[in-house]
Amino acid sequence: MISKSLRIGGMLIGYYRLCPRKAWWSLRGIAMEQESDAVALGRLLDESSYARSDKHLEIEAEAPDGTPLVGKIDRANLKHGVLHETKKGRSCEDAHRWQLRFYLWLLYRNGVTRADGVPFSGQLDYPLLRRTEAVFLEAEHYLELEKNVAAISSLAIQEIPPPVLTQRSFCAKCSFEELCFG
Amino acid sequence: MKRPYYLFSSGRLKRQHNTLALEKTSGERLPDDSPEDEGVPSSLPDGGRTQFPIESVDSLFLFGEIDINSKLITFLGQQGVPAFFFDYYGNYSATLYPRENLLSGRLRIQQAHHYLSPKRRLTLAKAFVEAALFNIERVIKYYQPRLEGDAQQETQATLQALVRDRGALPLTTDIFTLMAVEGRIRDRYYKLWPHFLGKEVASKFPMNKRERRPPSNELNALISFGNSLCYSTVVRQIYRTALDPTIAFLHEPGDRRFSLSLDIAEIFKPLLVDRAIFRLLKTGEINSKHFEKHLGGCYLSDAGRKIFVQHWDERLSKTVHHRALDKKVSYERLIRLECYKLIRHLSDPAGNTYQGLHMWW
Ligand code: SF4
Repeated sequence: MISKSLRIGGMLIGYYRLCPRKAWWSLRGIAMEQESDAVALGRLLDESSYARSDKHLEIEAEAPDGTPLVGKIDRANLKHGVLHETKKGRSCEDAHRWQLRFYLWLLYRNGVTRADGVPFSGQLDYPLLRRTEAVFLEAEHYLELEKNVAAISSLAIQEIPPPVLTQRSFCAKCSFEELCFG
Repeated sequence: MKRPYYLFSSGRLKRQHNTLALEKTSGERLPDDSPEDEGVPSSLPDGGRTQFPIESVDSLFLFGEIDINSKLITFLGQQGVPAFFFDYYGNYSATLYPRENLLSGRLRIQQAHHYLSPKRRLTLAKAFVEAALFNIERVIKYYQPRLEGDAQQETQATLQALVRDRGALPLTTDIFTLMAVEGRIRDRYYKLWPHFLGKEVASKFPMNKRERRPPSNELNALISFGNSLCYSTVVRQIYRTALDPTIAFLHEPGDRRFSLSLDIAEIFKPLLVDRAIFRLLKTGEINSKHFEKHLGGCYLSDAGRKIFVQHWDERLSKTVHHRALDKKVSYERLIRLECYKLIRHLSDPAGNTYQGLHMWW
């Protein structure tokens, strides 16, 4: 029923890999109020850090099982074939990597490559830390992403939320902490 | 940090670029409902002005006679700032509730489902009453050791009745009975107030029984005013979550009120309202000169409201240590957490059964 209208995006993949419960809340349309200045900062970074480039591209694709996928890409350098994703801090860097790999996967599934046929690569930008990290889509990632998409599709029709993480320390930096434990 | 603003002056509240400005008027506020009223401001601008940045405003509590226009309404809506209006007598009269941005369709369906299913509704309604009674018990137990003689005995008897009724809640089969149980205990609890307040204060402020419309004496005036504050404070917390404020479980969803706020407020009244009243009367911060009589009712004066509101605001920011979150949370934040607990219950009633806040400190 809801899965019909479900479109899986990069953020959701990142959430799912961090914590399925987090993805479930998000699938339910439950968002936490953004009270801290962090959000304003995020917006500011988004607007000011990189003035010249192609920003906010949207790509769509289908997973092998037919699930619609969508990616909203921060910024792309089409000439060099690099997708960029800007983040504030590295606290969820693994989720960030997977978000970017997901976008690369979308390009792959659309058959998009650089003009010379080389696949796109990704770069995580941490302007506040003055750091960048290159991210590549390897063969083993395809299958992993496919599995994640399938898992999220079934999560979307699951009536009750998955349990909280056993590793409570993880939750301390999650915006849903008060919703899960308050 | 955003915070609520409590405005007591009358005047025109307007948007001025990215700030709010109150252009004050001088002179007495007149009752809102006189038949010959033309709907124009009761007094003229006096040139006084206060201005504050919108980013600092969480919500507005407007106790004066306030003129607004649609530009302001749009602005407050964009900024997600709810505004609460109070009438001439200090009664809550209306909320300007900005469009919801956090609503979740699925959660709303769950909420309606829990209202429509008598069993599910009763479960939640019981939880609200149970927690309300528990917190009343906490207040009584706090004062009981200081009492002697008849006062001690009467208190003991009320406590016993309360514990018995609270224990019998699981057997209750309908909302009406639940409401009746709560009302009965509250009446007995109010009868103890003179003991809690002590002879001297109690002789000035008798408590016979709860009378609302209009409040019949000073204590009733204080309870009414405190309950209005509590109601609007809860509304403003619900607004920050995905809950639909109109779908309630203990109270019947009403057309012109946010009934869910009434449900949640039951739990917090003993902690926030009742204890505020004891404190303000016992210290003498509020005394006889802070009350006025109008049309057979008794109301807090403007000066009295200011004192109450200031204490209220301080009380909301008091903190306690929260075990599960392992951090200090303010009383006000506890209201938000109550909303989150409800969302958990609505999402997973068997795995995350709601229990209302039990004061643990
Ligand atoms: S608080 Fe923990 S359990 Fe809850 S969504 Fe976040 S990571 Fe998952």
